[in-house]
Amino acid sequence: MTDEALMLAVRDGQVGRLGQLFERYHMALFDFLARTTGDRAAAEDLVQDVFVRILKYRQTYRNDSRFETWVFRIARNARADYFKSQRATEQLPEGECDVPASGPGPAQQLELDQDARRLRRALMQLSEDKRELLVLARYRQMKYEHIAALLHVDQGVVKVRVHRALKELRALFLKAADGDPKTVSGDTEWIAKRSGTDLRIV
Amino acid sequence: MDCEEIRNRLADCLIGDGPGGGVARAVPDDVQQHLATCAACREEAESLAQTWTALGTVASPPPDSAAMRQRFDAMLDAYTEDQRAQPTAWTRRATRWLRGEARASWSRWEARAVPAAAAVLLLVTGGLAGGALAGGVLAGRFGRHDAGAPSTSAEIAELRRELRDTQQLVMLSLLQHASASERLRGVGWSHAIEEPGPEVVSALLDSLTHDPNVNVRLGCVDALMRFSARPDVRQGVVRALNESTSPIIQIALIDFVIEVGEKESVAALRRLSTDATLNEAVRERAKWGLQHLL
Repeated sequence: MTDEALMLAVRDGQVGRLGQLFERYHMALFDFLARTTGDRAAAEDLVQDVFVRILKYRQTYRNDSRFETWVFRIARNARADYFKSQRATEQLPEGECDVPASGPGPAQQLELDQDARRLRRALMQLSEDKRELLVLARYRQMKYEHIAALLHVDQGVVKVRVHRALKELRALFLKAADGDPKTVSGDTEWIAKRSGTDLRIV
Repeated sequence: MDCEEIRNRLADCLIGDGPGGGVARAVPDDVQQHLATCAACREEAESLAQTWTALGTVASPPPDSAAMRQRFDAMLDAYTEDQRAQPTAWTRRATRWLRGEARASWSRWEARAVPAAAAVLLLVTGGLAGGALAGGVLAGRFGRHDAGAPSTSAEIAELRRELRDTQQLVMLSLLQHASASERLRGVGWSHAIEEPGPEVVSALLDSLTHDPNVNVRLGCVDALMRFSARPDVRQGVVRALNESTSPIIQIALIDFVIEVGEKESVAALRRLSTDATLNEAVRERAKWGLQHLL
């Protein structure tokens, strides 16, 4: 059963169906909210808030609405209310950073951990809208057309903003890295070294 | 194709679901050709791709899904229970007031001068009207008249009018009260008045627009549904739809105009459906309303 069909059932009174949508979306919503607020505990609360709002506003769900867009719109509103009530955490606790466990040896892993922490900090230094854009595009792997629908902007605008956000993120990372002697400072090496993947763009 | 055009298209190359955040999408030939000859754009493209890939290494630990599901289930159970018991928040408030809370605080309410006097008058006239009605019915059924009872149609009509006037007086007095809960009672009184006069409708419309308390305004939306056939009520609701800034009131008003099929609300609904500064649920509701009306 599609997300949309489930949501239509919820809208029409079968609220128990919301459990299936919770299973499908709570991780994605948590990831989005945790990365954009920088606060995991708040993100857990906000996920609950999102589902409360779904119930509250279920009658407003339209037949032709794409559920993912609709639910992320609700999540953005919930997050906006959260930001209103308190300042977002600017810097995450070090323990929150995580990198894939397999791959490099211990010494290289340590360096990668440090880079990942810096990158996460750089992400949190971005403005809220830029951070949100990167989280949606990179972590949620949401298509530009869907991001455009969610943000009520043109698809071309989304592409330009992603481009700018990535450039700013890179600048912030390199600025932080310049102050740390342990970091690889070469402008084109730092990430290629970490990922071990070919840069297939050229 | 110049460098700016190429750079605007570089983001297209980033979306992909390759493991580890690889740049999975194939780069179009024309972009490839440009990058092969332009060092600046090539560097820009490499830079973007590297940053994109690096973002994939910043994982976010998963939440405690089991605990979240528990909280969700508890919330859903509470919601289901609540819905089973009471259909909507505003009708719940009104019903609760009409049933229990009004009686519970009746003696405190009686202590206040104007409503108390009105209530006494109401009881007296109500009793007389009831007696008159009963007397009339019985007299009619058994073909005889009690000389001591006001049994003529004129007397009954007069008592009914007095009863209605008294109920209206109580309601209008309560609507002016400083306490929101008292004003909500006033709204509740409107349900009890048979054939209310224009001052009742006027007072409800005024409270709908100007009362500072959202519960009172919601109660007014509910109460005005009785009078939805009246043009002045429909106009007043559309006016309130244009003026209201509270999302919950806006949604209740949208529901109102849709239920009564008020075509004059189309312009207001169009505005609400496109105003990006408004609550998302309001916009969606307005769009939904337009679909129903048009």
